[in-house]
Amino acid sequence: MTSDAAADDAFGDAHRRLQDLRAILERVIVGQEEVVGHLITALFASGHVLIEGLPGLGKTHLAKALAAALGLQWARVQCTPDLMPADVTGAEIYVTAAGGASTFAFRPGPVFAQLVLVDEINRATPRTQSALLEAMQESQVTHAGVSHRLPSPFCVLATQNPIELEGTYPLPEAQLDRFMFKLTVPFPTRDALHRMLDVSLDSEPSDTLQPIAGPEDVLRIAQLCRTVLVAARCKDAAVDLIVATQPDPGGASADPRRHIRYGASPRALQALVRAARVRAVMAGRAHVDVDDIAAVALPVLRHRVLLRLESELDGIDADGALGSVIEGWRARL
Amino acid sequence: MNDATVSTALVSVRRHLWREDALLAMRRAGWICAAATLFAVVVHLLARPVPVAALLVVLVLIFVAMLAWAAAHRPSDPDCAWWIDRHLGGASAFTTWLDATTRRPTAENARAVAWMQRWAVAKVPEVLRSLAGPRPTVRVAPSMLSMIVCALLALLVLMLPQEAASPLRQNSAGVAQPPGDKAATAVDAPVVAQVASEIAGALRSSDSPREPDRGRPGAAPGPGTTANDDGSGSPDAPSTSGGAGNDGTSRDQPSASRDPTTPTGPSPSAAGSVAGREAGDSPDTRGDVGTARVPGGTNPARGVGSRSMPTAIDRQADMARQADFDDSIARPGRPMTNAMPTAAAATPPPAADTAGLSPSETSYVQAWMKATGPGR
Repeated sequence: MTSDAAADDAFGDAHRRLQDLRAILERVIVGQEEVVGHLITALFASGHVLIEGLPGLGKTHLAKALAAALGLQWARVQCTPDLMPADVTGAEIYVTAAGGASTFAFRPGPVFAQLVLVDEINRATPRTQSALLEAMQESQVTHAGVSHRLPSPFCVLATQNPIELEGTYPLPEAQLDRFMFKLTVPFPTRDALHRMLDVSLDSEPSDTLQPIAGPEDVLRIAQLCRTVLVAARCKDAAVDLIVATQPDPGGASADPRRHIRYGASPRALQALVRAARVRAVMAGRAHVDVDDIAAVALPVLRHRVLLRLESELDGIDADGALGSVIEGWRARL
Repeated sequence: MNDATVSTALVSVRRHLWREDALLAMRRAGWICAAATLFAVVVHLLARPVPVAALLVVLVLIFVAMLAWAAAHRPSDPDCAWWIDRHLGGASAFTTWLDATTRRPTAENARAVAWMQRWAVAKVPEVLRSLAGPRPTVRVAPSMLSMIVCALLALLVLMLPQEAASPLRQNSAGVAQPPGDKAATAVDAPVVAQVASEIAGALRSSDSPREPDRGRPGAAPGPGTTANDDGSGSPDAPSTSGGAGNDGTSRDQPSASRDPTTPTGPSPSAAGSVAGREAGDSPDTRGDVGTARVPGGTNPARGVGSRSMPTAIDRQADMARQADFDDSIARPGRPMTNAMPTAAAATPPPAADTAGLSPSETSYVQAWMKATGPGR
């Protein structure tokens, strides 16, 4: 098999599968095309996603549909203040074997699923959050001195509610950095609401979804995405974008960087390029374009920059400040 | 095959960018040349003459320099590839292709390189079509038009006779002249004094006919003013020698007629002063006929007609009072002084105003001469 044919097989197949997956999810999750695209990107880039949105916008439904379409094992953790780390990671329990011998055996928690939906993660205590985030970072759980590998692929979809913040434990910045994307689920349009009634009034369409791929396909496509070419000029552009988010308190009044107190981390740069590679494959390319970087810039950066208090009091949010930064960055390309 | 196809696109884009650079250089050269020609015009008019040949050489040099810059500014392959990626929908394929050609593909990314090359090759026809299609280009016409207009204007101005531009240069030089340096204006002072003296003589001799070459025919006294033409205590003398002696302020300035360069022969002004001496004993500076007229202007015929002091009529001397003249002030060789007259003489309106009298003022002078002539 020649290299061209192999490329046809690999990238062409990956492109087709990603397009199919996107089409299926967009049929089920009506009016959230951008969120669906970012979710697929994060999954194939081996990242985790923090989804923020009001109740009833279909966050849980989205996770279920994604797991069903890809044939992934999924679990749900509903976070509450009394949720303990062992409730998430698992615990050793005393079991008695059939022969009468008793011993402690590790019983995996819900984190040992390929797709974990952590609902309202900011209601869990920091201790539980830390246990979960350690699993996200290391892809393993250590219990009683024994490390247990998490399944692969492994993706955490954590949700949080932007309202009802009383009694919650907001994620610290260091833990927010573990999420590749932070997605905001917008309110659907009027037309999308109409279509939603046609699709999901009496049934959960995600329950009837047939998988179009399996976990192996996910791993294979994710591996293929790691071979996507990134030109030196595109790397420079990504670095420029990260540098552009660094604070500049003495900047001109028109400079959006003056609103930023802490900029994006090098981990953000890695997430940026990894996500851009998946976007390239979704677009049928084996090379990253600057537009791929721009497309994932906002979900990668919005939870990684910290604004100055004065700017927040002025009503400026991360999306507003980063939007100006990205616009200026693209103009300089 | 793949490399050749992509290279074709790069070559086409390089040619396009080169042409754009040349047009940009021409546009810049046009604006610079327009500015240079305007600058040359200003210099020619205000400072010094600018040869047309020198201006043309400068314009040619500007054009040659800009075009040489454009020719030397050859777009590189990465620049061309990046331009395709950003402007022709290359989606960074051509930049990546250039990167891939400089390094050997590894086993991991061999499939990606192959896919990318196929993608770039498939994109080449679209790139070439976009390049051949209508694209926004550098607009050269405004700058070229401006340059042509400015060049024509400059040629017109630079080819004018030198006499046309010299007054502007003199004016600009006068602006730059220090206040104490009045050499240029002093050159005209004898002429002014001479003309003033002629006017004074005409006024004094009431029988003399109106001279047609005077600036103001109405300034000459009419025939009715001939009663005292003997010169003794004649009111004509004060009228010609400037009534500035009335107040002795602004008009008692050193006269250009006292300048050594001034002709010292028997002039009408001197005669007027002598006549004034016979009329009184007070110092009389009215023989300083050119005093108020010297700074007036460069045209002698009009300078004597200056009417810069409209309040002089209001400050008419008391005609009932006897004038007191000092003839020594008009004596040649005597140092010039600004001595104030001890007493205000009954004098007619100043000669400076008389020389440039309005009809009402002329009629006033004539009436005064009629009224005072027989009694004296």
